[in-house]
Amino acid sequence: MNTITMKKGLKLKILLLFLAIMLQGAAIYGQQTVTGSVTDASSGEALVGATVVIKGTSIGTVTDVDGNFSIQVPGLQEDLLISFVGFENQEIPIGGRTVIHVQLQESDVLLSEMVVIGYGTVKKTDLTGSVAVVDSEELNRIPASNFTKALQGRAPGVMVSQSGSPGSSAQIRIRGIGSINQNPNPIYVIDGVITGGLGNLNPTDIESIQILKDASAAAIYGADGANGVIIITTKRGEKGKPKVSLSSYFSLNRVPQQFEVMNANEYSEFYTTLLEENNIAVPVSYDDHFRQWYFGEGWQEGTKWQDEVTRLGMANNHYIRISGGGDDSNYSISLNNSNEKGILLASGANRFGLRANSDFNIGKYIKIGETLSITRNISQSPTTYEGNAWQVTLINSPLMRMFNENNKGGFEGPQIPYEYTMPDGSTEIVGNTGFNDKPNPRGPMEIGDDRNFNNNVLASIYLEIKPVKWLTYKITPAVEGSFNRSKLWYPAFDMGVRSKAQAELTEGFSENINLSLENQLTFSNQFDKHNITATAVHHVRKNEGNSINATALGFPYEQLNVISQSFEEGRQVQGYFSPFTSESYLGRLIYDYDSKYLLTASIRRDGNSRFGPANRWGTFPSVSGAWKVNEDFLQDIDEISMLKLRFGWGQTGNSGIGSFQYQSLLDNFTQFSPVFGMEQRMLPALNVVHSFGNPSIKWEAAEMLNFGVDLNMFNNKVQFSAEYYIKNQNDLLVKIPMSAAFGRVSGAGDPWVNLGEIQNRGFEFIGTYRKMEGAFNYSISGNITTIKNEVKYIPGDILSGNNLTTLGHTIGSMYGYVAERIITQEDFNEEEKYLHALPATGKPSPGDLKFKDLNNDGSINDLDRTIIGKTVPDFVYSLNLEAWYHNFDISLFFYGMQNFEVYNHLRAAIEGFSSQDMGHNKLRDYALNYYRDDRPSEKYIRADMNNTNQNDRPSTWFLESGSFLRLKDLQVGYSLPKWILDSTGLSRARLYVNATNLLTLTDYSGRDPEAPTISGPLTPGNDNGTYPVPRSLTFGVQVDF
Amino acid sequence: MNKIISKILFVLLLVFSVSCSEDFLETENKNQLTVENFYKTQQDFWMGLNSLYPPLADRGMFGLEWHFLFNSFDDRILFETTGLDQISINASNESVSSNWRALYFGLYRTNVFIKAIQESDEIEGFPADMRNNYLAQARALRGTYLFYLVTLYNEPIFYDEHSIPTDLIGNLTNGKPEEFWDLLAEDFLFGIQNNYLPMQYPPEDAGRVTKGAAQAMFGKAMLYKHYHYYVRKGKKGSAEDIHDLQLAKDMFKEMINSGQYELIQPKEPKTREDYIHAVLCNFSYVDLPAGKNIYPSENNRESVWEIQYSDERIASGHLPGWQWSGALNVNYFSAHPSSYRNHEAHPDLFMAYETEGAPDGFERDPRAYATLFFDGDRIDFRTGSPYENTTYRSGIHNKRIAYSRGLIQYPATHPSRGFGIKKYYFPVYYEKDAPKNDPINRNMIRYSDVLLMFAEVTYLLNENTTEGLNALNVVRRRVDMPDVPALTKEAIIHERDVELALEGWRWHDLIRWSFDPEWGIDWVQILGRQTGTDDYGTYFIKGKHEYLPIPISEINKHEGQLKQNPGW
Repeated sequence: MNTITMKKGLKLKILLLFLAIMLQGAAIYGQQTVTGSVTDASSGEALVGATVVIKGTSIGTVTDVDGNFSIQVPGLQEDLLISFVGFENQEIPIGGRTVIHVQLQESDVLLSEMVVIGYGTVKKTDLTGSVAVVDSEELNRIPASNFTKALQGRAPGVMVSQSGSPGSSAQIRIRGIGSINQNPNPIYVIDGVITGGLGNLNPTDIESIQILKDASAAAIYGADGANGVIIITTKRGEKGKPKVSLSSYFSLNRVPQQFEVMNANEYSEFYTTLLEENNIAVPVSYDDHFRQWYFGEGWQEGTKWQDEVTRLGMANNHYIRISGGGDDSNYSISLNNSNEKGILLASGANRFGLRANSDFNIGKYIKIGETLSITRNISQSPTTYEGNAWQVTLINSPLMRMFNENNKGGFEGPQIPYEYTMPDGSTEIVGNTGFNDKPNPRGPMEIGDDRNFNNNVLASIYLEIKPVKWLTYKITPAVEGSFNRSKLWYPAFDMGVRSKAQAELTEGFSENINLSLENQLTFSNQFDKHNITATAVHHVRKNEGNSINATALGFPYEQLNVISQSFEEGRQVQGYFSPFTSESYLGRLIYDYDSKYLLTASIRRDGNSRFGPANRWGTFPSVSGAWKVNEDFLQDIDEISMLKLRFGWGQTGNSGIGSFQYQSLLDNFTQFSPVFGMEQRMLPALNVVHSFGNPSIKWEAAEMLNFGVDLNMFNNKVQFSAEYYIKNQNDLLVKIPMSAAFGRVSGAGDPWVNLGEIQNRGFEFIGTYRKMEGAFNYSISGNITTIKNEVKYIPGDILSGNNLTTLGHTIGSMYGYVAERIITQEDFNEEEKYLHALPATGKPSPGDLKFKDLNNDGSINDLDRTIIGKTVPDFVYSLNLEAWYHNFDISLFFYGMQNFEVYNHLRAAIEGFSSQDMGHNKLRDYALNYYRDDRPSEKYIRADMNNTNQNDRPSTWFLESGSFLRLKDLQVGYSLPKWILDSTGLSRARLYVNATNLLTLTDYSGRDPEAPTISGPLTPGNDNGTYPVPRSLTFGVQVDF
Repeated sequence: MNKIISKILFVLLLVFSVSCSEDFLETENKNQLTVENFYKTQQDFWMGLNSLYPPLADRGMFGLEWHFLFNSFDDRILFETTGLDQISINASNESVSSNWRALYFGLYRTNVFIKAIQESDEIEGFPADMRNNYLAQARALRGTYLFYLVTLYNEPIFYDEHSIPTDLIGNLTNGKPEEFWDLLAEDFLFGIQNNYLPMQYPPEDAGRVTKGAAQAMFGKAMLYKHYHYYVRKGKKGSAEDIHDLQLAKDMFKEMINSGQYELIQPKEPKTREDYIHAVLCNFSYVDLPAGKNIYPSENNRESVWEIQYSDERIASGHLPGWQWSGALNVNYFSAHPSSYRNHEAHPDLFMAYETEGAPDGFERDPRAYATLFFDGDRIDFRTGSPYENTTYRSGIHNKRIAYSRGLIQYPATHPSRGFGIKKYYFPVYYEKDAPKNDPINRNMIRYSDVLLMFAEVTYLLNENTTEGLNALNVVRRRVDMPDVPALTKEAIIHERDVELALEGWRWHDLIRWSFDPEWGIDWVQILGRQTGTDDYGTYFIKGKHEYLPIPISEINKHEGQLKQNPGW
């Protein structure tokens, strides 16, 4: 080895280069070579891998093993920007020189190479637990209304599923599904405060995101940490002149895919044939004459319901931030407005946000700062009456008109009788839609109103006293207030058999106040090569929620839609109170020897009012360690910058179990309502049958083991990490499914017990390669997460719809019959006797589904159901490609989920018949090709209006693979060149175009395979018409002054 | 150095000055009462007693599922789709589990109440006679729940106030039929024999169990017991059987002689409307006019025990009636054009009404017109109602309903293309000022049922048949149909069919008679079968469909302990 300081070289190299390149933008005029060296100003040692770029361009290089560089410059009047991790950046005018020697000053530790781990920070290279760091640059670049959506695919071990519903947050599962019945979501810590209001956070405000995945990292959050912790740090001001950043984008959104259902002509023909075959009189409604008379122009085509309820969606987002600072203070203020008009009629969201923070040094020892965020979210949901529009539009009648001015509300409904003069002159009463009684979905969407208003305030102040260098005391009081109003309004309307007799208004108000006080003492010092950081924390929280909900029926003047204008006797009001308090003590020790052997140990004790009196307090320990192998071995291999092995173990809990579950309570009065007397008065009643309390109820526990290896190579150009974890979640709260013999009104009152066990385990890989030299630079990064979820113990199977949660299988597995194929004539003997197992009720014919007699008892019944699919993917993966060339940048982001199933209920409805199905519209292809004796099909079952064989029972027939690979984002950006910036006074300006969901590779036949993955743990994977993720095109601009 | 130490001390002082009081982690529940503090005062017992009634009105019983299950099974009613109509249900049927649940609301609550009242010490303001009446009401209600449990579910879970289950995991087993029959008899007799139940309550308490209600329920139970227990167990005609039937007969007789009850008679001038409304007023929630005459509706002299429903709105409760979005039963089943009309009457029912001897102006037994809607019938008689002049119109739904039981087209001989159900759906409307819940009371037992049960008991006892025959003819005489000459099985079956049609009892009548081959119940003829499919037989499977399946969820919860009914 020569004089190069390996230690410095081994310091974490977060690519400041990358930042620098984002700010580039100069054209190249001529070519000249500048050479030189970069050294450490204090030691004089050469710095290996320091970055040298021409300011305002992407042209750059890195220093070699001797600290030397050589760079082609367009002219000798450019500025060079030299940076190296752990050192202050330097900007040097070339000033006509061709040889330049640069000395860099060692810097204070930069935030970007530090990782926030909760109650403190550590250098990324010194991490011992499993902490994913999300590149906030990537996050900032993607036009996402909600930061949870932008997290998708950005970190291994973090599964993010989203729907297209405006304003909705994505669903985040860290390392599998950790709870059966309770909240399986991670907790969020924003600037040190545990918060619930994440829809309020604007992605552009985020400085960094760290995700604590394993117990050894999350155990410091004790009874709150079992589902992982997402720690967010927002941007704060930096020293310097006021800086103004602006960004805006505008998006156009489209429905990704629609179903081809029959038009009016096809529909009439299909049902006329079918009814005649079944000897049922064909309603006059299907007759051409009637249809023409009734529908008027366009009667052949009828109403295209899917098109009627969807539209071109739009979104726009504007953001401005002003920041700056002096020697003893800094500030940052930002404003944001995000507005989204959904692809489904009457769906939308609007958010206004303000965030301000500042820090002040008072004297030598004291620092004070605050964070304040105020947001208002308004979301609008479609008021579909009796049915989800994504579903109803597939099956309601194309014969129905859209409007009817004689109906109150102005919309047409199903099965309205019309007095019709037949061609022969007789008069007949004809229902407009024949047998089909499905509603007009657009009517209620246009005349109803469903809105939620959420106002959220999060404020915290800290006072930090640092009397000596090695001791810090910090006190942080914080308050979060969430104030909600919801309003659901339907005027009365006539829409045939789907009319609403009375106007109805439901309004809800709720308030949730969370007070928190945290005291933290940190001791940090170095003794020779021993580094010790010890932290002690005391934290108390007090939370109080109050809500009131009122429903009112009947409004004589519908334009006055406030509660007081309703009929008094039609009002009902409910109110609830839900408090909790918690108190916690935490101790943590971080120790390393020579930054080579690392150890972290913590213990937290949590008390929570939600735990039963017998288990008020819990203790959550953790320990983790790491060894930088390359500092003891492999020192001669220059290619390896770092090789680190990690191990961690810890226990955490999930305290989100609701208040008062430990008490045995009486029913609410509303559960009883006996009527007595000639006057028919309702009398109050009460009895001892509501909820059975369990005084030993406690947190859901998680115990996790984590093994990891981190490898950085070629001066950190290649970074790779692999981890394996086993997460055993014990003491999961499950309800003992009590017999109805206990007089239960519903299962809601069954007692909770800590009995369930789930195991999640899996591998996580992440790799990055970055090429950052010359004019063309690029980076490739990807990650893969495998998920294996298994129920290890549950006192009773939980069957919810067609999802079964049972021992030995993935939580919420698909449960049903195995449909082998379509039955043909061959399956009957000469006496027309069916040759296989008969269903317990009903009778199969050619064209029906052949269900498998799994238990070989000769009958198809309940016992022939089995686990037919799983809804949790085997693995989730993503690939991110970015490239820069001169002033252009391009990025491609792929995201995929592999090996999981989705039950396509929509397809079941339009490729077959259910027993409630009389005249539902069908898929055009089905109508043309369904099984008939003269036209057998292997794809489509017969059109049996009787559903004799119950072909619609949950079976593999309508279960589909949901696996998909998606080009989630494709973005092309252009940064304005330096000469334009110089002449306009801008420091940076970038324009971009982004396409979202441009391409999806999947076998799934529905609108979107991803959206159905969102649900509670027990009922995933059902596509009943979930809001699909739209296909969008975004135009955006980012400007800094 | 001292400076540093003092700084550190200051900081530590700050840290420890923040600490919490001991009860910081105790929060008070202001949402609900805890169990320990209940059943202490008279008010508590009054509230507890009131809670014993809603299970009957619950969605699982007469609030909804009774319509869904037994109206659909009923051969006189057509249901909109195949399935329920063909008794094609299984042990995971939700109507069944809802019904099961409602009955155990009843059994559990009554037992908890009976236990509490028996164990309670003397309470101020809770005199002995009031206490006895409360207990008698509770026991009669428990008897009622036991009756429905044993007749609908054969041998379901049994417990009394001494054996209320506490083991949350379950392991409950099937009760013995004797346990049900013995306890329910005791329960009814407790109030009757000790005179703890009054003949009548003050007007504000109408709907509570009277002595007559308990007697009628007891009599009905003993009649059912004859078939469900003695006939099935081969003890038909045994001394116990005769004893029980004799007790039932005595009860009915006491009721008939009490002068407390009467059939609502058509008044002069006995117009067509008088005949119809005299019957129909028992199924209406408003008094029915006919010229100058008014026919009283709910809780009238023909009513023995009614489940009370009101259109008062209940917040998210389960009771009474249908509780979804304030929609009404009429919304689903009524004759109104805006109703879904899931149910319509089978044309065979119309044919069952006799033509011979019908009073002037009637083609058939007037009860046909009180029971069924015909094209052109008015659907609302209230002055000022938006539907005052709206008439019944068949033709939109009836075809699809008829289709479900293979009834493809009505024969041309029928005067109507479809028959609506009039009982309990009259007058109906669905408009902006419609009631928020179905307000029509449900007749558990009305006097003509008592008369017909009396006739049946005397027939079974094979003694003094003129007394029984007379009771049956009293029912016919109300609508001026000619007397039948002899008390026969056929006469009893026919009279119950036409008098009690569409009231929800026909299915249970057929079941109990079918246990005794002598009654000659032919399911193939009654319910039909699929044409040309001999290998699938009738919809009704003997030995299976007499009882509902025990919900599969219950079987699973008591794994291996609780046995399913045969065939399910």
